[in-house]
Amino acid sequence: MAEHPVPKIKLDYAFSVRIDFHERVVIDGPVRSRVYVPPSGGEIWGPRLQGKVVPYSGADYASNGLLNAHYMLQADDGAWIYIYNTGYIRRKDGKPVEVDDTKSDKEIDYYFRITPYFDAPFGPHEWLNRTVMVGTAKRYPNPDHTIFTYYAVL
Amino acid sequence: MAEQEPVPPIDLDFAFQIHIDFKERIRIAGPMRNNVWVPAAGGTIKGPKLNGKVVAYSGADYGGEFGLDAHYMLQADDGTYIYIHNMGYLYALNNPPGTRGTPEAGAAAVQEQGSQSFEAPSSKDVPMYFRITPYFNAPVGPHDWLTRTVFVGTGERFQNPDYTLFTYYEVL
Amino acid sequence: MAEQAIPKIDLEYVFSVRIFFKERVTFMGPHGGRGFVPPSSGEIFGPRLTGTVVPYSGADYAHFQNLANGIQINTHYMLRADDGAWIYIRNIGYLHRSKDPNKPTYFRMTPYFDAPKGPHEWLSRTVILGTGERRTNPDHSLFTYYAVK
Repeated sequence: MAEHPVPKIKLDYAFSVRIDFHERVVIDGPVRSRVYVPPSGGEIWGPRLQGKVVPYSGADYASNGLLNAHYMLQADDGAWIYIYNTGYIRRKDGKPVEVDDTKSDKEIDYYFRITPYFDAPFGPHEWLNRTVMVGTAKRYPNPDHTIFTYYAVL
Repeated sequence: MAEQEPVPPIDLDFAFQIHIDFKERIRIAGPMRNNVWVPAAGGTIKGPKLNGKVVAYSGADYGGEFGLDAHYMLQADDGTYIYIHNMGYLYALNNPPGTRGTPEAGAAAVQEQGSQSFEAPSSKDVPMYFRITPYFNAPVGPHDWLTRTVFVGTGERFQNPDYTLFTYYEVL
Repeated sequence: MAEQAIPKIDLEYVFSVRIFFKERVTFMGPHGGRGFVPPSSGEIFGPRLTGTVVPYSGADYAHFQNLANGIQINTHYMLRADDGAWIYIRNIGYLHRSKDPNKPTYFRMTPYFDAPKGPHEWLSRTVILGTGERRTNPDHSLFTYYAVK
């Protein structure tokens, strides 16, 4: 096969989302482990979107470090936006991610990268329905919250 | 109040390219949703992080109107089978979804076309937005890093012969 | 080709779930229609499971092309058994009104569960079929679940 030139990808910072957490539940199942981590609230800011995370509108139902989050955002203009977020979280020191990690004050280094998919209504946010996005996330303890930084893939 | 933190950068590292050959393309326009069946007739993988082939007729893109939802198998040069689930968006830049009016109009347009088989133009003829986020499963071994790494990719369409070239970057 | 006996399938009633709703959001976008209908509360009763629906633990994020043709059920939320066990439910199926006004609404689904090791772990390895009934005053749905034997 002839060598193909490698096309470049450009990332354009779109917006950030802070999500607050009050509960983290673990289901230790016979076949797999599943968590239930609902957003108790949150905020969205940045050049392409501003608004809030709708409290208790869903959760991350992750399994074995693979995110599986379904919840709702609401833009400042009132538009509802559905988010399905998937991606990976793992500790760079190789230890398993524990639910109690978020209570520790010790700085833990994670590989936490996500690819969110959105359903937004016709209107000013409809670009979300047709743009692949990639994000990085950072966890903070006391109070337990995560900041997600999202880039549009151009 | 919003956190006043610098925006962390994301670094990308070119990982591999997958060339996939196509022979059939079928679209189903249903009352509840539309989806396609576009099987991988074969292909090759080349790059610094993976080399091998696409297992012929091991799966397909079963996506909707402009969202990919592909499931198929790869085989690395060392014989390891790797499952790929690919998601993303593909549409013509001069006719992006959402500017075509209501979903009913879109569905009606597909029904009117009659034929279930469809053509996919080349990127040279029709500039398109073609970006994907693949997820992998591989057995414990030299390729299991794929199962805990996020990737982002771009696709380029060719005709005569009909193939797509996917370029994948590891998200560091 | 020789006649092949068609294997029988049995359905065994396992439990019912009644879910109350206060909010319903729907919008149309480039992917079609999307709904957001969270459970405000609910109860579980029956021979194999008793408990409650965890309020606002998820929703039906239904999708549809146009509402007249019906919706595709797409739910994620949490249950709690009376013994305290948390159970995740993922439900997919269809809800649509028959064109014949004498025929009932078609409301059928196949839920998938993640339950912890213990008395409810059978939910993680049993195919279950559900039927739903819509009720008003107050706005709720009654789901009846059967294990496929």
